[in-house]
Amino acid sequence: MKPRPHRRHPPESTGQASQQSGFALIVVILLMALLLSLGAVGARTAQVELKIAGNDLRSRQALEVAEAGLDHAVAALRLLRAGRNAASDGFNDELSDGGTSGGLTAVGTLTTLADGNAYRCNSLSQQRDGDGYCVRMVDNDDETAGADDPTDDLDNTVVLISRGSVANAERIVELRLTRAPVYGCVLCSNLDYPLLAPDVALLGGFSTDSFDSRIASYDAASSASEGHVIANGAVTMSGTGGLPVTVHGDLSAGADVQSLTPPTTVSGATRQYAAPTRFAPVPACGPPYPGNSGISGGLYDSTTGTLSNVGANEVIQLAGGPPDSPTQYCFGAIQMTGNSRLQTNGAVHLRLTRPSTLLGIVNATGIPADLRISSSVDQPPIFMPASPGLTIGGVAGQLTMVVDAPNAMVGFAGAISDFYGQLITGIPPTTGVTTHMHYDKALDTPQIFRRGWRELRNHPPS
Amino acid sequence: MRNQNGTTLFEMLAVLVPATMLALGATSFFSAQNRAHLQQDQLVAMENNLRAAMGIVSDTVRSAGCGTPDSNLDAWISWASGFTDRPIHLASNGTYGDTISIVACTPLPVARTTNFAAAGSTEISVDSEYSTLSVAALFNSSDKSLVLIGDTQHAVVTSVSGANLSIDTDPTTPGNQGPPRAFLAGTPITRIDVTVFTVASTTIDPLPGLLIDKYRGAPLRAAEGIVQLRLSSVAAGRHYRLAVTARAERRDPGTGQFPTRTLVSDIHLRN
Repeated sequence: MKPRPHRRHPPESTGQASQQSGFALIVVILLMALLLSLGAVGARTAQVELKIAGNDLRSRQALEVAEAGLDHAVAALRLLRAGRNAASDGFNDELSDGGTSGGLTAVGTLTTLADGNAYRCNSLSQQRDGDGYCVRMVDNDDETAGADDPTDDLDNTVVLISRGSVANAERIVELRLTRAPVYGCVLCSNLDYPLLAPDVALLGGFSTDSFDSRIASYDAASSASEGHVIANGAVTMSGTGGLPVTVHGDLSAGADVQSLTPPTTVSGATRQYAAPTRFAPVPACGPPYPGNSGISGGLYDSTTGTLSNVGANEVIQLAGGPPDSPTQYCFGAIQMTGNSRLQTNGAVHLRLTRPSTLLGIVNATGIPADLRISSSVDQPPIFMPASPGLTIGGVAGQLTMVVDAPNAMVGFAGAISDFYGQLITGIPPTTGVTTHMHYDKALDTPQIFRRGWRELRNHPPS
Repeated sequence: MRNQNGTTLFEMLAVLVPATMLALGATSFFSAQNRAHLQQDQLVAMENNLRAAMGIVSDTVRSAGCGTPDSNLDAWISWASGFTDRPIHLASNGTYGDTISIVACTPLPVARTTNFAAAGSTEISVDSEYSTLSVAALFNSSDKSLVLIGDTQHAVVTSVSGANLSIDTDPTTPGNQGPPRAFLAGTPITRIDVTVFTVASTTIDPLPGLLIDKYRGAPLRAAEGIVQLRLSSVAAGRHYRLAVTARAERRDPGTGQFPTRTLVSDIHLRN
């Protein structure tokens, strides 16, 4: 009998067995390929998501870095250092060398970037190369005649540009800066009236000196001799009534200085026919006039922008803000009468566009810089003005403020025995000045305010 | 002989039973994995939409007030209502939270003056900063009418004729008033726009989304799946808290609910 072949190992079935093992191999390979491709797709998706999240993170970091650049630059500009940002010519010292000089030198090293402009760059330590910010300053469009001069700041306003970089991300922000001018004079007279001589008459009882409100309130015993007087016109000194004229500081005049009646004293240098000091004009803040929501008392008409007292003894209160962000008010005019008072309880910047009379002014903080009164009234130096463009009165003969009215006559209502701060005027009253004026050295520190921020993006608007 | 070469029933069962069990297990495994993948995909898409919405809104809120007049916005902005002295206006949008209107400048100047403009001039000629956009496309007397000349002078465009703009620097006084100062040729002009963010759904897109309206035709749909937008004031006019909530497109099969996520960001206004 022919033996029955072993079913599991038929000699003729060798090929079939190898086919079976081949099929399994293909299935396993296909399955593995499928799983691998699924894994690869998943990994790729995760990778893309990770990249998106990373780009998003770096983009946000770049914005923060750019902001840090702005903060660094503003802090550097606020520092008062010899030869930096202390001149009376606005931001001109920073605008030189392509907007990288002056106070900006402290921000970082001078670098020319791919846009061809010079920047002050600061790398972030412990980060990769190239991470950090680069800052430059650009003049705004302040010229009104001739050609634009990008190195000359006429209106104490410039734009800071900061580029923040983190890895491949870059964000660019800009900040408009304005600064209170630093003129270093307690009495600053801007205009030179050709038909009016003298432009500034200092009469018996007039004196100047200085103090520093950052250290202590004014004390005559410890006062210093930085009560400088600057006039772009002629100055006379007359020790009338047996009272002396005493300038504890320098006296500088664009025309001649005459000592008509002794005793007159100038403790510092007296300069005649000095180069004129350029006092930046005050731009008009209206119309239209705002709601000025911080006023309590008085009657305010936002159509004309006029604030006036209602009762003869009324107290009008203006709410203030912190020193680095004063509350802004814009009025056409303030017209006060009788014994009414105007009080502020914090830092206030009060802007006026028409002739005004402010009475009983009380600056509650006692810091001159906390009450800044700017007037855009323009009384051209052709004929003597019939009346002052700004009249200010205090309480008990005291005034503490900074007045910035470089093109208007400023007069006092009633006798002012002591004026603390700085008076910038077109000309003082033609009747003369008999006030004790005390310059606050804190005003030498540049007050710099942030006025406008935007992120620069190079895509067309819709 | 062929029957002798086949498999026995026992052998078939011995192979088919574990194979079926394996196949069922694999199917169940793949099904679960697929569901998890789809859910994860939905969540990722939702979070991407959420991040995008938060980025768009927070960037605009941060820039609010850039280049805008300090006050009387209602007098300057004729085409949108609700503004007074602040560049952000909020209105309730029911369960969708708030409708947020923001006034802010364009990120770059859009045009420059081409000639010297004397003080008091109510006509200025300008040139577009973009080769693809004409002066007529950049300005009009409605939603593209508020401009900042240089960086100090606001004006309302009252009409556009070719490259010439008629401007009024005091919209509270009848007639066109010119600026009190002169401007040199080349002075940049920035436009001030109003952007409105709101959440809405439509019959075409039943899933709510973030809409951006610039008063230029139909609002643009900027992000899908946004169901709530809230902006609350932390310090009046200075510090805001923005909360954006997104929802997935489909319900979670486990809970039967729509998965949601909320992002919150504190924003200090820069202007």
